[in-house]
Amino acid sequence: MEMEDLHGLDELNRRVLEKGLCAACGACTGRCPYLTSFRGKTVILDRCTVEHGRCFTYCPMTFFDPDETSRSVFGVPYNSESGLGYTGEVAGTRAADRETAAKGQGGGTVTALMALAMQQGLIDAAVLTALPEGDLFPRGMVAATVPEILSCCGSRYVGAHSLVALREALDRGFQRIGVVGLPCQIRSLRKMALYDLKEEGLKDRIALSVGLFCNWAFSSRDFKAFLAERYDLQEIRKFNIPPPPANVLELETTRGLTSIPLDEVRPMIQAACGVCPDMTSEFADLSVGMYEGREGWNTTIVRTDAGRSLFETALGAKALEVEAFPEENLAHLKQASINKRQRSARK
Amino acid sequence: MKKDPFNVVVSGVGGQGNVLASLLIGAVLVNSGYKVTIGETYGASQRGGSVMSHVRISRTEQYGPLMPPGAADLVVALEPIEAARVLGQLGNPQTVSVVNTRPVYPVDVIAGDLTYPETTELFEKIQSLSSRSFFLNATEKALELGNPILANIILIGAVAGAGLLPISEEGLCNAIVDYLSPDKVDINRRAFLAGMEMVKE
Amino acid sequence: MSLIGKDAPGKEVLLMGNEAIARGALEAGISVAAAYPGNPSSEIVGSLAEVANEMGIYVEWSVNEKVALEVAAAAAVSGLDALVAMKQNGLNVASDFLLNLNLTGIRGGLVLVVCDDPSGISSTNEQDSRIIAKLADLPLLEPSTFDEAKDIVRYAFEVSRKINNVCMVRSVTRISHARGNVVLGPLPAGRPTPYFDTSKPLSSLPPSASHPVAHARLEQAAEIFKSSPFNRYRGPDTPELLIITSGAGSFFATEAMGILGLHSRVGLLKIGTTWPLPEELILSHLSKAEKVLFLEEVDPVLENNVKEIYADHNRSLPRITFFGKKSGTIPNTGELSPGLVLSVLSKLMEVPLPPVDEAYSIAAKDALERYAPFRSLAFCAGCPHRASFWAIKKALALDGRNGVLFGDIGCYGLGFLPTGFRQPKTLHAMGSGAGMAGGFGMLSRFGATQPSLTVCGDSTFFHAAIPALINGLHHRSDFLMIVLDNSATAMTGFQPHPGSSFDAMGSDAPPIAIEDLCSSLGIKTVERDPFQLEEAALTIHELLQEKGTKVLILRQECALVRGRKGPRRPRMKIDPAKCIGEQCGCNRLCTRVFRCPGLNWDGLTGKAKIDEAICVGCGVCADICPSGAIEREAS
Repeated sequence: MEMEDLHGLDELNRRVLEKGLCAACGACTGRCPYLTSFRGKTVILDRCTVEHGRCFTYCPMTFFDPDETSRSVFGVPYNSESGLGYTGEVAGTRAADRETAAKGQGGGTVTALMALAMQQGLIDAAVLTALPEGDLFPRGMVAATVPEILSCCGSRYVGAHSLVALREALDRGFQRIGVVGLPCQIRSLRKMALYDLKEEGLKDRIALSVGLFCNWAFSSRDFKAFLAERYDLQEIRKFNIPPPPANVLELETTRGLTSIPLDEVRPMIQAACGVCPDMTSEFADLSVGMYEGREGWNTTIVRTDAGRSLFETALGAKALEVEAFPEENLAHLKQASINKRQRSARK
Repeated sequence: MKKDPFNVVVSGVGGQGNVLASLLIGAVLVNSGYKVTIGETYGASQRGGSVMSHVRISRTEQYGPLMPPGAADLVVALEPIEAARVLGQLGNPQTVSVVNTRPVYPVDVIAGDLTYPETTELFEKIQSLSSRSFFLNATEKALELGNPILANIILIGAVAGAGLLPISEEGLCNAIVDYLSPDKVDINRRAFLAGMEMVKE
Repeated sequence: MSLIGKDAPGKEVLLMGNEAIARGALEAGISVAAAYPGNPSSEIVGSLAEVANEMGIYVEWSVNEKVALEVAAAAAVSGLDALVAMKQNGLNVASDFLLNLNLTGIRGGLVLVVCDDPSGISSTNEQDSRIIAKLADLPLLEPSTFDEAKDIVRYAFEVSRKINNVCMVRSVTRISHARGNVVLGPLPAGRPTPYFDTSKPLSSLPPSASHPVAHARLEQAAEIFKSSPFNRYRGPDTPELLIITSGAGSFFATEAMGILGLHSRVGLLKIGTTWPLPEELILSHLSKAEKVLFLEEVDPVLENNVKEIYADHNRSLPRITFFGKKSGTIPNTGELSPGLVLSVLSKLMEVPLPPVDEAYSIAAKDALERYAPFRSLAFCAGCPHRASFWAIKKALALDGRNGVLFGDIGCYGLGFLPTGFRQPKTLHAMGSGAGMAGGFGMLSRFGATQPSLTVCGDSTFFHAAIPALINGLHHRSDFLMIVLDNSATAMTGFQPHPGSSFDAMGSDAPPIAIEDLCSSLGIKTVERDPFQLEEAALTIHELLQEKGTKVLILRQECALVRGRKGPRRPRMKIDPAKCIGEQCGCNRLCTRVFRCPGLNWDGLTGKAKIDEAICVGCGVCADICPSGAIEREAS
């Protein structure tokens, strides 16, 4: 990417915000006085005239060069046929600690890995999502201790602008930051490392990226309005999307469990997700997601040296339980991933 | 004064005490038997705009509140680009100017939409449009005296010190008693004398 | 004792036109004066207020112009002399009452001074109020000098008492807001005791009976005006050109005639009694004229009325060519200027303009183009309105539904400019923001999705916004009224209003709390400090999400008022190490966007600077700086 192809806020607005293609990743809004994320929407407060803005450059939706990224992260060109991107080991995993495993989504692998990375000094801060008291949707947060990491929670199927917390971690001076993110956010992290417009040492300071599997996320603004029309928001405790073929959204309310057909809530999905080709966070150090058909477990894909090193440390420290990932499942995961890519290409 | 009417423009930025300066000049001269008319723009001028008072002094006639183009005999500017603006509109080759050198930046300059002229060039421009010109940092002196607003009285002092208008220390103090209040005499006297001193140097 | 109250007959002083008008009222022996402030009229009652206690008169800043006229009328129907003053827009507010009062008449003296603002120097319009005198069948006088402004007001009281009706005086900015020599006259002693004669009720009913009475009173005025000293002619017996003028026009005409050496060729008929015109006097001059030039500001009032007289007497008059607004000789908008009058006379009389130094003109033009960057108006340093509009802008951006902010009249009208981030989208009359916001808030039934909100000042709230608020409330309109309460009628010079704890004469007065008034109506009413930017913005946003009529009071004292009394707030400073200036992540937010005059941009260092002579330490910039580079210095 050449400098003349990097633009500022006006162009970000034209290419992404005006088209409703914001993925609510949070890469652009941290500390910028011209942009803010508010209730699931990225809002322009004023006109900015900076020619090459971080907002435009780090946004996963403005442009993304898989080849350039793949070369810089994995040392090889991008292989679009692979389905899962560049992979090392793929395994079934869950946190060895029962409590962590039970609390997390799936098998608690992400929490276990991040806690271990902190314990081992691989990272000095973690950028995660946490659920603020009394809120339905998570927000980004900086965890600088293991207990803080353990207090965080998994994805809630909504765009949460959580990379705002990465800006906070950078501003607080952390030098080895681990980030858990959705595929769009991992793309953003790689763009930060590649272009590092303000020479903040981002390649090194973003020391670890754990990517989540993601098919789509809701727009929190639309989804909240959808829920508010049907329920008293105070009544809703939690929501969950069980694996196929359930095809419903489960709501845990003070009056018990209810479910809504997924087709009814699909219009609340962010438009950005429809054009996103990446289901398994193909550019992360490690990707973690659902293990279809095996409740309480995750699928973990090891991708980079940093990922492998953390994974092996986790095995050595017995922080994770591991089992072989069946070929059949792998084929299924690949197909799902290819399906997403193909769907996005049609848009 | 050699000319009748003798036309003075007091110019500056809203909030600099432009109106008071022209009032005091006028009051001193009315007390001395002159007919004085002062035309000024009010209202929104308080909010950072250019303000200009036309002070028209005559022995016999009550002149109108606005002077014809090119009719300024003396320009007293509380801000340098306001001197340039007045000279551009009302100056002539005989105009004398007394200028406070301290810039007050227009809000569009602050915002980066306009540029403030380079000060050396600006002062040269003012000089080139004046038969004589006096430059003094009245705001700095006023801050020394404790309040930037006193720059206006310092400039009146300079005008008097340079012999451009028949204003005496006593005349000014009397005008302050009549038109402002007696408790304002002391600080304004000091500012006036400071201004007189500044043009003697 | 202020000069206008000085008992020193014969003393020559320098007075503002408005002060001269006030002095004229004192010399006439008024008991009551009332006004709502509005430039260029504010100093009339303002200066009377200053001397009210010593002079034993009653002076008030009324809630609006109509009430001011009613207060003055109450005195005048009880045998007292009363003055009411207003700007041209205010006359519209008062005109409903005026066009009934004119039919009942009065029993003392009532002079209504209206100060017009040709070119709208401090106004939203430049209407010519002289037409309203004709509409109301009331006599109208126009002063041409400062001394005359005083004398004409005294004379207006005499006329008013004689005809038992209101007499109007029209001033303009160039008289009202200018200063000149005035010779003080004697101040009368003693005032009548007010008494309303209940045996003679005052009613215009039926108009078929009262209207002829008003006409008869106007006829009486015309009789008096025949010998008015305020109509004067200066010039040769049979001039080549007759100039007919009034108001400030006579200044410009006299000076231009002098410069062009036309005193022996051109005659100047200066009219002080604009309505009804002194017909005989005018006819006597028309009979000797071949060319007539009308010099008047805004509308062709003299021109049309003189032409009417000419038409009625055309058989006995010579052929006359008229020059004025109809002929295009004089522009039909805006004020007159010496330059304009010079060039018109130079052309009509075929005499050259004074020579100009070519080289100097070129250099002067260059100075204007290159050395005098324009100063757009801006809110003062530390003005709470800047913060309020910032909060509104943010709230509307967060809301994202393209909300419409209906503007109103006051300093915050500048919100239209970049200084207020161009937030208000309408600007009309006092209180009309509230009325329009209420109306817009009812349009969701047709599918409107934009939130409706309005701003109004504290003084404007009392003046005309309350009925609109009640109207919106009663009709279940969804709108948010934001009261920008800076505890002052700031635009016109900090006059008290019903929310103040003191009145025009400095006495204690019961303040009416806006929040209590709104709450008592059952309106959700919230108060915030605009300097708490984030909280204010989020509050506005939240209120926009709610149905119904809501009031938010953004309360913070006017920076100028604060500067006059309070100790300076913290000194602000900039940490250059933290200031990231032109880079991504700030891009000069504080100067480029926030645009406070207390901040400067140092192009050499690429850092922001505080202008010590201007900053008042409100501290808002510290809150908007994303780098935390602006700090409040501990005092």
